[in-house]
Amino acid sequence: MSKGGQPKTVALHSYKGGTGKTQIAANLALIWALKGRNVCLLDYDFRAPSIGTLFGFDDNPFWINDYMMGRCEIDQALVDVQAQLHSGGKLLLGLANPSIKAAEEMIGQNEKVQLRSLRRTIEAKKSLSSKFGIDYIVIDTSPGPQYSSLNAVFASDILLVVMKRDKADIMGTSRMLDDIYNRSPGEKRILVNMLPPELDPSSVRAELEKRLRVPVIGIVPCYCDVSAVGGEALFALERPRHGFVETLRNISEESIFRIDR
Amino acid sequence: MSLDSHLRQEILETLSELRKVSGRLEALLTQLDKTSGLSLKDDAGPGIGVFALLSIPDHLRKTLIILSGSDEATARDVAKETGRTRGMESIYLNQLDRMGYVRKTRRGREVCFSLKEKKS
Repeated sequence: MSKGGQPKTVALHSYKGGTGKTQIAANLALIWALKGRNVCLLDYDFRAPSIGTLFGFDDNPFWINDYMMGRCEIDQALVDVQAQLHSGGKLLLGLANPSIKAAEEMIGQNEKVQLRSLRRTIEAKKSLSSKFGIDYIVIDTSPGPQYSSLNAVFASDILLVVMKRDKADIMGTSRMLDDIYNRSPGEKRILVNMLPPELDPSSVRAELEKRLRVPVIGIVPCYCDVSAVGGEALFALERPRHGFVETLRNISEESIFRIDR
Repeated sequence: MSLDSHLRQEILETLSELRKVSGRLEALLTQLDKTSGLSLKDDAGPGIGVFALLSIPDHLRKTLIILSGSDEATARDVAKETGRTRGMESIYLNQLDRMGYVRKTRRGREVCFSLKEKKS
């Protein structure tokens, strides 16, 4: 339960798709909630929403899309899944509408609506903290330079750049750092996912920190089972001792995520 | 003259000097904006989008992002969120006004700023 500290808004973004942002976002949110924190997980991946599928929701009266477009208030667009946890803090989900029509509406917006979405994001941050006592707002985004993702990046206190250690991702992340990430006011951290077992994590960390000049907050090894069933299993809930969850738990305890009381 | 009143006098004189300097800086900045091409007032584009935020200097972007979260805000309101001083935010907001990103309205003794959704 929040005791009035400043909540942390954590946005997850990446240059390419398939880096595991959604799995990491959902499991970090679960880890904090299971520890008794109040968490809100927002799906800003309007092109390919998947948080709803992970938690088993595919039909809602209102979606985050409706909140962005001014058709409802933030509390109407949230689903409370605390009961699924059996113990812990609040876990609220703000889901993106998976219909193609909804995705089309969100993608093809003019500058005025893009800016209004940024405003709605900042208003949601304030409201989630004051009305619901939320400690962590975790935002999953679409990869690449989408305006909705940019809004999440600009509104975040901490930006987790999720990447794989491959050449295309390193080059793309480097460009995103120059053109986008380093222009956002929050803290930035690199999170390497799906590291092949033949690579040494400490060498990879040193290589990336030298190349990208951003601290690496953690390196998650490649787990075939996470990739295989990741889209339908909540590992932090169903397999809490799994290596994937243990690594994310260590990351969740990093000092950057500490909430001042 | 007591030490206190002497200090007060000195502070008031310094403040007056600072106001003059601030006025001169404002005038110079306006001139600079006009010549550097930073100003959007001459640009007849469709509106300020989120991507436009990427092209403005870091210190101004922080102010603009905070301002985008409210209908209208004073320099003091913005300073509360950014952790910078009211005076500093006032300079940044006035610069954003000159660049055509924000609208400035006087309400009694307060000066309020709001985001322009369309460039002027």
